[in-house]
Formats: sequence, C-alpha cells, structure tokens
Amino acid sequence: MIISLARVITFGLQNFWRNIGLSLTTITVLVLTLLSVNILFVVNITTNRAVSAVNDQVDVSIYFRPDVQLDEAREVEAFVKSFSDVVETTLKAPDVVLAEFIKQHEREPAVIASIKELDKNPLPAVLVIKSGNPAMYRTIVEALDVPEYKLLIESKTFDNHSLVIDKINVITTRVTYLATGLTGVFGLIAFLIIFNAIRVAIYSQREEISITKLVGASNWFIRGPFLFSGLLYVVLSFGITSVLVYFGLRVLDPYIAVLFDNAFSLQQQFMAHALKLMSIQFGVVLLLVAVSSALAMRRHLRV
Amino acid sequence: MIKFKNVSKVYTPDSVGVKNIYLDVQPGEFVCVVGASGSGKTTLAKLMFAEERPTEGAIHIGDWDITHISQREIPELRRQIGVVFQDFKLLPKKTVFENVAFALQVAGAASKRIRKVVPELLDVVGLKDKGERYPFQLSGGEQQRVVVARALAHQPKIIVADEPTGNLDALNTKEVIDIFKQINEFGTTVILVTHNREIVNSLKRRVVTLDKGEIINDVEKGRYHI
Repeated sequence: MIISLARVITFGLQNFWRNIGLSLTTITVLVLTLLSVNILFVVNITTNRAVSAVNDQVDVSIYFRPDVQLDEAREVEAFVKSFSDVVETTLKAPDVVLAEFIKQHEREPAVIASIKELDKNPLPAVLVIKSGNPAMYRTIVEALDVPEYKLLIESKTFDNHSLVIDKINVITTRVTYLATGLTGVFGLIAFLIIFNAIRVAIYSQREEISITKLVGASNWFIRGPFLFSGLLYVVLSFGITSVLVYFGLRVLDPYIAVLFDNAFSLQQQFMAHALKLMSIQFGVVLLLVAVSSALAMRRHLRV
Repeated sequence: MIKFKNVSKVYTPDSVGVKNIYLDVQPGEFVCVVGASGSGKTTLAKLMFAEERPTEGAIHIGDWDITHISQREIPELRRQIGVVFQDFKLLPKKTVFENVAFALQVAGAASKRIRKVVPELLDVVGLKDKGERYPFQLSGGEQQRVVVARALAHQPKIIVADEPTGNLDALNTKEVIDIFKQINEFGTTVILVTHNREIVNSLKRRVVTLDKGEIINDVEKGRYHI
C-alpha cells in the first residue's frame, strides 16, 4: 500500500511537471481566488472596526435643570440603565461639570472670569449615556419625554453620527459585493481551468493510461496521480496565498493603524482569526479542486 | 481454463463482433485463432481480458465467471492474463527495463522484487543486455519481445496475443513465435490471434477458424484453411 502510494505520488509529480504551463496557470487562478477571499475578510474587519470607532464617539448628554437634586438625577440614571443596550452611564454632579468647564476653557480668561463673577454654579448636573447600539439613542431620548422626567430635564444633546455610519455601511456593502463577485468569478475560472488541466493531462497521457489499464493497474492507481496533481494545486496555491497575505498585511498594517490612532492592528486581527480563516479557505479550495477533478476524470478518464 | 458458452457480442444490429461462440480451451493449450479481417478474432480476444463485455452467453476464466465482471475486478483479471498487441503499446519515455518493471509497479510489487524479476524476464525474451535502451532504439521484433516480457511479469496462466507478428518481418516473427512456444512449454496457455498462414501451418497446434463472428472450424492439430 505504501509502495503504491509512493508510486502514485511520483506519477502525480510527473503529471504536474509535464504540464507545467497549465499547472502554473491553474495555481495562479486559485491564488487570485484565495486573495479575493482574503480581501473580503480585510474589508470586513477594517470597516467593522471603523463603524465601531465611530460608534464609540457617539453619546447622549442629558442636561438637568439647575434646581434638580442629585437624587432625582440618579433616578433618571437608573431608568436609563434599565435599557438593555445601554452600556455606560455617567452622572456628573454640578461641581464636576463646573470643574470640567473651567478646565476646558482655561485659556479663555474672559469665560473663566464671567463664571467667577456669578455667586453660584450656573451649570446643572449632566447625565452622559453610551449605548452599544446607536439606533437606541433615539428611543432613549424619546423615553425621557414622559412628563415625570421632562420637568427635570433642561435639554438633550444627541450628536447624530448616523450619517457617517450609514456611509461606512454603504461602502462596506459595495466593497463586500464586489469582493464576493470577484471571488465567485475567480472560483468559476479556477473550476474551469482545473477541469481543463486534468482533461489535458488525461488526453496527453491516454496511451500511457490505456497501457496502465492493460497491465492490471487498479482504478485508484490510474486516478491517483491526477488526484495528487489536484492536491498539489491546492497546497501550492494555499501556500503562495498565505505568504502573499502575510507580507501584504505587514506592508498594509502601519497605514491602517494610523487611521485608528494606532489602536488597531490589521495583522493582529488577521492572526487572531488565522486558523479559522485558513481552514475554511483550504477546505473550499480542496472541495473546488476535488469536484472539478472528479468531474474531469468521470468524463474523460474511463477506467 | 477458458470457457465460452454461447457468447455473442453485438455492437449494433448491423455490427456483430462474435455470435454463438462455444469454446473450451484446456490449461497449457496453444490455440491459434484465425480468420479474415472483420471475422471477430480481436473481439474474441478482447472478451477474454474483459476489454469487451458479452451481450449474451457466459465466459469463464478458470473458475471465475467474468461475464459480468465489475470494474473493480478487472485489474485482478488482467494480472492473470498477459496481453500482447500488434502495435506493441510500449511507453516511449521509459527504458526496456522500466517498461517491464511498470507492470509490476502498478501491481504494488516491491522494488527489490522488481530488480530481481525484470532481468529474469528480459533473459527469457533474449534482451538481457538491452534493459537500458529505449523502445525507439530497438527493432520491431525486439520491441515485441519487450511486450512479451511485460506480459509475463505477473506470471500469468494465459497469454493472449492479438496479431503479435503483424508488424514484423519473417525473422523477427519466428523469434517471437519461438518465445510463445517456449512459454507454452512452461505450461502457460497461449491464445494466438493471427492471419499469418505460415505461422499457423508451422505450429501444428489447435486452430479455431472464425468467419463473420462464428466459429466455422475447430481442429486439434490444424492448418490455415480460408
């Protein structure tokens, strides 16, 4: 069995080498297919990160009336916390708000002087709300419009970043469609090329195949070398793609990191999902090659 | 050893390979199958090593009913029947040694055994010193002898030779036929498909004559009668 396997591998390598032009074309198309899948992944994680970065900057500030007591403000805070999508609330007492205001305007003496002119702190308590889901802000703001809380609230500021998020989503969707389309096209081309590569290999060796059959070779011994050539396509294309992606990410990483204030590494993200991503890609290409090789052999290699 | 029981091979209603063949070949026999072109000789030979399947009747090789032999079983049958063709069917990019070794390689024989057996086989066919040559460096007769050596690689009980001397001159023809006679003397059954009158008459062995797919004559020590 081991001897036969070794011979199947040897004959498979011969097949690969004898049709080297076709073998290289097949591998190139498979590499392009795999690269487009990787681009899809890069686009996905980068845009997800971009959306999340924008989301992080969105919050709602509730400004209470000056006469509202801190306990009343805490009651509002407890109500807001009951929303499942609310991830963080910060209730700032009037003196904290004042301290922040002074710090913020420390280079504006006129503003500071005006504040100091006043007998008492003019700034009310503020409740800052952060939600994991930007779509929830509107709901929260509307929920605070009930008479019970409306009387306590002076104003609400809602920095609406939804336009930016929508734009990111639109771009992401379009790029995803494009990359998916490219993956499909390359996949189809790869399928046809592998089918043709196996067909040509069978055709160019038809005499040898007929002799192999005549001298008593088993069916798997005849098919084995073609399957091995197919496996070689998978392994080589996968290996080349992995190297290209690795070095591509190394080059790209600093440029992407700058966009996110060095708080995000594409390479690290990629490595974190590498096993899953590579297993899926290897599996898909293996399936692609197996199906196209099997079809080519079924149609052209009668054993 | 070989039994055909009312075997017919019909390609289309207008094209009949063989029909109503009854044939019983004993172990160790040397049988010449003769007939004009298109008489069904090659079809008969192909039925023996399952290159063709009968449309009717039953074929037995030894105790093995190969009438409906499966694809999976064919390699096993072909290792028991050595086949020799008129057009040699040698691998041009392999040496004489490698061509003979190929039959053993595909059957999973160990390299050590191959190195031992192949020179012995080349010795039998008188090509011991030409193992490193390529087929194009050999004469037609020598090429056919390589094919015979390859056919013997699995030590088959039966050799089926379809017009093995069709491309050879008289001298090479005699050499190849002598090898078949020698193989037969070792106990191997030989089925020789030919239309060469001189060979058949000189052999003085059993002669089965086909005409339009049917056996019209089967003589124990016959001559060529067409």
